[in-house]
Amino acid sequence: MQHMTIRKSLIWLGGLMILAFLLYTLLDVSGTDLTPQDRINTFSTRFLGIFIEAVPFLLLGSLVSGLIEVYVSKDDLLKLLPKNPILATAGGAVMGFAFPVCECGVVPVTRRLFTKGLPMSVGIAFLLAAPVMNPIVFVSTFIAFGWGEIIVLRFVMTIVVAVSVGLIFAYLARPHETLLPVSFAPVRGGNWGIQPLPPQKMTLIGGLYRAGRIASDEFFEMGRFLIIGSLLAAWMQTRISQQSLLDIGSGAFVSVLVMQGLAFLLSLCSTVDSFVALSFLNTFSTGSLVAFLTFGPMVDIKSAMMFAGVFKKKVVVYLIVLPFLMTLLIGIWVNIWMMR
Amino acid sequence: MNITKIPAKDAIKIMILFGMSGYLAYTILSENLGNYINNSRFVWLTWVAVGLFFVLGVVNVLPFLRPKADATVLLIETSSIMPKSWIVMFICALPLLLGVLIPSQPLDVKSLTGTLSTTVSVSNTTVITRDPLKRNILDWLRAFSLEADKTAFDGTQAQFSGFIYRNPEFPDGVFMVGRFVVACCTADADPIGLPVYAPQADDLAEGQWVEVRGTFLAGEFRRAITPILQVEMIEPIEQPKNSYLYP
Repeated sequence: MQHMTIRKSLIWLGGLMILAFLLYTLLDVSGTDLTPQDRINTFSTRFLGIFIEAVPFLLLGSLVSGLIEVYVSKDDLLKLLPKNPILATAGGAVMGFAFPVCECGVVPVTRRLFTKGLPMSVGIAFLLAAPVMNPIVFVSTFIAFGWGEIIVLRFVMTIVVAVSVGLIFAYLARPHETLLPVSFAPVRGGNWGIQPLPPQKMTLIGGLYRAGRIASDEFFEMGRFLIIGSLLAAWMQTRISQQSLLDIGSGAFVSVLVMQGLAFLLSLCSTVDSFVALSFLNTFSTGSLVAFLTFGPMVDIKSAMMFAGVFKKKVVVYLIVLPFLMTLLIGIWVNIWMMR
Repeated sequence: MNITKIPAKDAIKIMILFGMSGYLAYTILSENLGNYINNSRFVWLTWVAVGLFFVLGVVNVLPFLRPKADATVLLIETSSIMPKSWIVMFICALPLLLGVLIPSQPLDVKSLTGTLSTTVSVSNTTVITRDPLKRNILDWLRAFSLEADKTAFDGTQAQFSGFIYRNPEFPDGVFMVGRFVVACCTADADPIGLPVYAPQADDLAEGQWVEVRGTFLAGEFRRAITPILQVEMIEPIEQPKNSYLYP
């Protein structure tokens, strides 16, 4: 017990020290003509920009999560999935076309689907692929790049990476080793959100009311991670120049790394990242652009923070590292293939 | 009627939900939304958030507006077991606190972490059809990208606006007039600018918004041949309400 208290105190201390460092670097204006107030203004504008852009998607995701909890039964869900685990995982990767959510909305929806008994591999494939595999992103990528290698590679790479990571989890992980207890409650004999009601008692208004209550809890639960992620992304953008990253290099290998780093730091919404990638079209390799468009929607600062609300720490690391390495390798391969 | 008392944490939760709805609605109506996101494309999404926050606020306040007995049943039926710590509440209130306490303003010259870019992307289908005197900085940079011979713009008249960006490395009398290009939100804000030669404007401070008119003449700028506007007229202007350019 005492051991736990010491550990908790150390975490608090570490967190406070990081916070103090971030605040210090934000307000440190030595060597510039700026005042701390200027820095706070820029930070606030950048933070609110990311938050205001992302929050409608988080709310819609929370609402879908609430509706799933109330209206979708475990049996319905399992009936729709193929029995073969590989086919089921592939199904998870394209499920975004049925539940069109971006990376801010996908986390609450996936967590809810897990509580409904969705297999681990299918949920992971859905979580990683859905921010790209949906009609809105297809249209925005098409408007930005037209029909060509970038749009094809973006969607193919997303399926390959999402299904591969999903299958790794299918064969090597058990739900209780992967999910936080809060995402796994039904198996433990409870239901984490709302006390169950006998289905026959539910009226339409009653159902919608319950979905709304769940959605608001979901907003607070996931919203805090979105906000912490947006704060970190805004800090990065206020202190680190985008140009300094781009200056690092544009070789077949380094360009992919740089664009992956940029995708992680910028934390853009997948529905609009194509327009940002377009501005790098003339300066960066195709492989790096595709890595930007594939890795960014799967993992960025804010979604990584949100993963921490669903999965155990070790799993969060895997969910960042595996897509990172796979998109890196495919990006480099695309560059080498294009140079031939 | 015996109305149920609202516990402190639930009260804060309800205030955050209604507060967010009100804050976002105010940001749209006061035309400050353009300081944060590309409001020509995404204002409807923010209205969706206004509506959803309001509905969630109502859903959370509803049990407390009923007579005590009914409310107890409703609360038990839908009570959440999720932890609602004060820290979670504080984090979720942060956007509201920053939005209310810090005056809304767009990114400007003080937000730059590097310099202004003079390269923009163009696709094979990019065509600049706008009248030269009505083109903005983004239109001109696109036109320059599409033309290999930078002297082709010599003698062309142009008029545009932006903020002044000075750099000790620029030649005497030369500064840049810049704007931020925002595709989605301030996360992707890209500062771009055009070099101008206006020795008569040396007294204008960095960051001042100006309207410039003049003629392009290709010259060396940052070790490349670039059209530089030879300014004939420059006048300070107020920062426009929508200060970003949208691609």
